[in-house]
Amino acid sequence: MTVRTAPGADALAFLRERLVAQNALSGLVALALAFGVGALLILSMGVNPIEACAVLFQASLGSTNGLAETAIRTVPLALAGIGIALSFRAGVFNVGAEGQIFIGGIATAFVGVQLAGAPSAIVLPAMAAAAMLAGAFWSSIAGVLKLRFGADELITTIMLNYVAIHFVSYLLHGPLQAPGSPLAQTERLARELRLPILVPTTRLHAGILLVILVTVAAQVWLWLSVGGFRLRSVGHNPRAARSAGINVTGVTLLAFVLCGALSGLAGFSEVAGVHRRMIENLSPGFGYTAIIVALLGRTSPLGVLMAATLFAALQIGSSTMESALGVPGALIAMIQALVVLFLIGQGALFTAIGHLLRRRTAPETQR
Amino acid sequence: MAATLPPTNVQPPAVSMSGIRIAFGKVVANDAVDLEVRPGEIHALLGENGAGKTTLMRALSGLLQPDAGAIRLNGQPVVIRDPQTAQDLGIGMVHQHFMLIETMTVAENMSLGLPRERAGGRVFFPDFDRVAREVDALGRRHDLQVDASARVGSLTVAGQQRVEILKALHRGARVLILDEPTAVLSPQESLRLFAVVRSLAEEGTAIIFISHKLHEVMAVTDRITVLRRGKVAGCLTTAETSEGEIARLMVGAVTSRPRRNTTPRGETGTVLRLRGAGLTDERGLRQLDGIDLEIGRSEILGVAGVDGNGQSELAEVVVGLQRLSDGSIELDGADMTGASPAVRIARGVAHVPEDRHRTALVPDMSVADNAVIEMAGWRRFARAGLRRGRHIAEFARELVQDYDVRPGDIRQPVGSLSGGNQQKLVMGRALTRDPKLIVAVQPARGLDFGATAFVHGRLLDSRSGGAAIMLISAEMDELVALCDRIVVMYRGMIIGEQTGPDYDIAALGLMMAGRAA
Repeated sequence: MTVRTAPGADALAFLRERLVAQNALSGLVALALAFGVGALLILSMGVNPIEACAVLFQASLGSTNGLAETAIRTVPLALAGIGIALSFRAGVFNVGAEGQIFIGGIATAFVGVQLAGAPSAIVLPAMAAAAMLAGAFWSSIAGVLKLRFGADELITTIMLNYVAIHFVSYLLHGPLQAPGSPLAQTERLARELRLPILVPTTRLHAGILLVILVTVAAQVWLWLSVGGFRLRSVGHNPRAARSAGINVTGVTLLAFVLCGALSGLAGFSEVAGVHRRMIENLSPGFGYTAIIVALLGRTSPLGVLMAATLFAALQIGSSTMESALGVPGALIAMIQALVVLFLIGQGALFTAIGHLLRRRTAPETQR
Repeated sequence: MAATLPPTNVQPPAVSMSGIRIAFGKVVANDAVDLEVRPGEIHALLGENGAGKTTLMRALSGLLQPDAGAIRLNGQPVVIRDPQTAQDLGIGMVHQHFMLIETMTVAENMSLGLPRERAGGRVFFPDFDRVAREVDALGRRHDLQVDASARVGSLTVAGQQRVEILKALHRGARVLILDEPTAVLSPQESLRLFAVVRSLAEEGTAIIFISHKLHEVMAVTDRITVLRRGKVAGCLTTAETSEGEIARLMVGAVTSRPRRNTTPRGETGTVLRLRGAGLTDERGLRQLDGIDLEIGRSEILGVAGVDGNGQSELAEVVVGLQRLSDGSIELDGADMTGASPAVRIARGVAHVPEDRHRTALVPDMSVADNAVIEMAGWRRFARAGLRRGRHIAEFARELVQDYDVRPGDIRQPVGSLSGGNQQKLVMGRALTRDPKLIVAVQPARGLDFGATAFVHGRLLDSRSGGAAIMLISAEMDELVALCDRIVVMYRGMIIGEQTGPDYDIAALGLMMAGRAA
C-alpha cells in the first residue's frame, strides 16, 4: 500500500500531531486554561465567576430533571466521541461524525417506518443496525478515497458532512417526508419503536445504557484485544506496523468503519430516543463538539465519556446561567473552542513562558 | 580532471575544520574530523549513510555546535553560532530537500530573511522587483537562468535547485555546500549542474560536494575527503586515485578483526530462492533487475555494495514490504511471490530492518508490546481476540533477559531505550522464534563494540541452528568476518559473487564501483 499525500498535507500532518499526540496532563491543563479565560470574561461582565459556575452546575446536575437532561445530551457526544477517538488512535483524522449522525438518523427513521407493525424486538435492533451500517458506509467513502487516491480524510470527511446534511434534507423534503405534513420530517415512529424511558417524568431514554455498554466494550477492545493493539500500533507507526505483518490498509479502513458506526448509533439514539422521528435539525453540531470531547478525553473511551458528560453539563446549564445572571450561553461555546486552542497551542505557550522566565531570571547566562 | 588550483601557500584555505568532534549522547557522529577546502576547489565529501557527512556540514552551516575542534574561514578562526552567522560569513548550503516555499515566487523566496538593506531598505514590503533584477543578473552570469516571477512550485526539480544555488549566491556565498545535489536530477541535468559548479569554482567559490556516486565524484571534483564511521578515512586527490580505492576507503579495509565464521556449514538445502526478481518503482525506475539468488540452510549470504544500489529494496521484497514487478520468490520450495508480510513471518521469515526507529519499532509503545508485535495474533499470545497479558509479559521478560536489553523494565516505552538496546530487542524478537530465514540489514550500524560483537555472535548462533541469513551491510569487514558467500550489488543488479573464506577484497571493491569481475 502506498498512501500518496496531497498538497498541503504537511500542514495537516502538523496539526494532527499537535492535536492527537498529547501527554497525560494536557487535557486537564487545556480545560483549566479555558475555564480561566472563561472566568475572566464572566468577571468582565461584572458577574462573579464562581457564582456563575454554581448556577450552571446547579441547573445541570442539581436536580433529577437536570441530571436526566445532562445524561440525554451525553449520549450523542459520547457515542460519536468514542468513534472519533478510535479513529484518531489509528492515525485517521475523521471529522465526519456530524454527517454520519445524520445518515444514521435517516436510516433509523426509514427502517422504523418501513417495518412498522413488526415486533419491536426485531425492528428496534434492525433500526440500530441500519443506522450503524449506514454511518459506517458513509465514513468508508472517505476511507476508500484516502487509501485509494491519497485524499486527506480531514478534507473529505468535512465535505461529506455537507453532502450528508443536504442529502438528508432532500429526503425529508421529498421521498421520506411524512404524508400530509408541511414540515420537513419523517413520519412519527410507533410508540413501541422508541427507546424506553428509564426515569418516569423525565425524558431520559435507554440510549445512556447503550453509551455505558459501548464505553466499556471500546475500552476493553482498545487496551486488551489484539485488534485494539494493532489499531494503536498503526496509529503510532504505520511503517513498523506494516513491517510487523499488520494489515495497515485493513486497520485504517476499520477505523473509518468504527467511527461511522458509532456516529450512526448516535443518530439512532437521537431519533429513537429523543425526537421520535427524523428531523432536519437532528444535531446542533454534536459531531463537531464530539471532536473536542474525543481530544479532551485523550482518545481513551472512558476519558471520552467523562469529557462528554462535562460538556453536556455545560451545555445544559448554560441557558439557566444566561437567564439567571445574564451571562450569554454562547460563552460555553467559546470555552469549548478555547479547549481546542489550548490543546494545540499549549506547547508553544509553555515554550514562550519558559523563554520569558529564563530571560528574566538569568540574563547574564544568555550567550 | 586537471583543475588549476591556486597555489596553496599564498592563500589560506577557504574552509578549514580541524579536530571536529560532535557527539549525540553516547553516539559519536564526528570524531577528530579534519576538512580543508581551498578557494576555487571542488571538494567531495564522501561516505556511506551515517558516516557523518551531514553532521559535519550542519556544524559548518551553524545548525549545530561542535563539542570540540576549530573552524577557520580564510585563515580566521570563527564561531558559527547559527545559520544567520553562517550566511553572514559567506557559507551557503543547498539542502537535499529544498528549503523553498512552493506557493511563493522565486523573488519572494529570495527575499525571505534577507537583511533590510538588501531588501531595498524595507522590512514589511520588500522590494521584490529589485531582488528579481539582481537574481536575473546573477543567473545570466552563472548560466543559472530562472524566471524570478515564476512560482517555485511550477518549476522543475532542477529549476528549484537552481533557485537554491542562486539564493546562496545572492546572499554572498563564497563557500557553497551541495548536499547530494544529483540525487534528484536526471543525467542531463546533472551534467548541466556540473558545468555551473565548475564555473563557480573558477570564480573562486569553494565548493563542498556531498555524494556517494563515485563516477560523479571522479568526474567533477578536485579532491576527496572520505568519512567512515565519523572519522576521516582518507583525503585523496581525485586525479591520483581510482573508484576502487575510494570504494575501499568508504566501506573500510579489512581490519585485524578476527574471522568469526569458522565452523563449516553442516546442513544444506535451499531456503530462499529468487528467480529473475525485478522491481520498478512508481517513477518507472528499475530498483532491482534480474536478481537470481539462493541461500541455503546454515548459510550467511553477504550483500555488499555502496548504499543505494538496491540493497534496501532487495530486503523489502524478500520480507514482503514491496511486491516484485517481475520474477518470483520461493521459501522452502513454496511460492511466496504474492504473500503478505504476515504470511512470510508465519512461514519463518524474520526481519532486522535497517531503520530501527522508523521500521522496526513503535517507539511510543512498551518493550513488551514491541516484543510481540509480529506475533500479536498468535495462539500463544491471544485467545478469543484478547491479548494474553501474562504470556506476553513472560515472553518479554525472558527476551529482555536473554538478549540483555537494558534497562529490563518491559513496561517502559521502547523510544526511551538506547540504540544498542533497541537493536538487541529487535534481534531478540527476530531470532527467538527460530526463523528459517533472517534478513538483517545493517544490524550493527551505530552500535558500540560490545553490542556489535553480541549481534554478530547471535547471527552465527542462528546459522549453527540451521537458519539461512541474508546480511546486508556496507561494512566490508563485517561481511568478510561473517559470511559464507558475498554478492555485490550495483545499480539494482548482482554484479559479482565470491565464496569465502578467502575473499579478494580488491576485486570486491572494484565490483562495488561497477566494474564487473
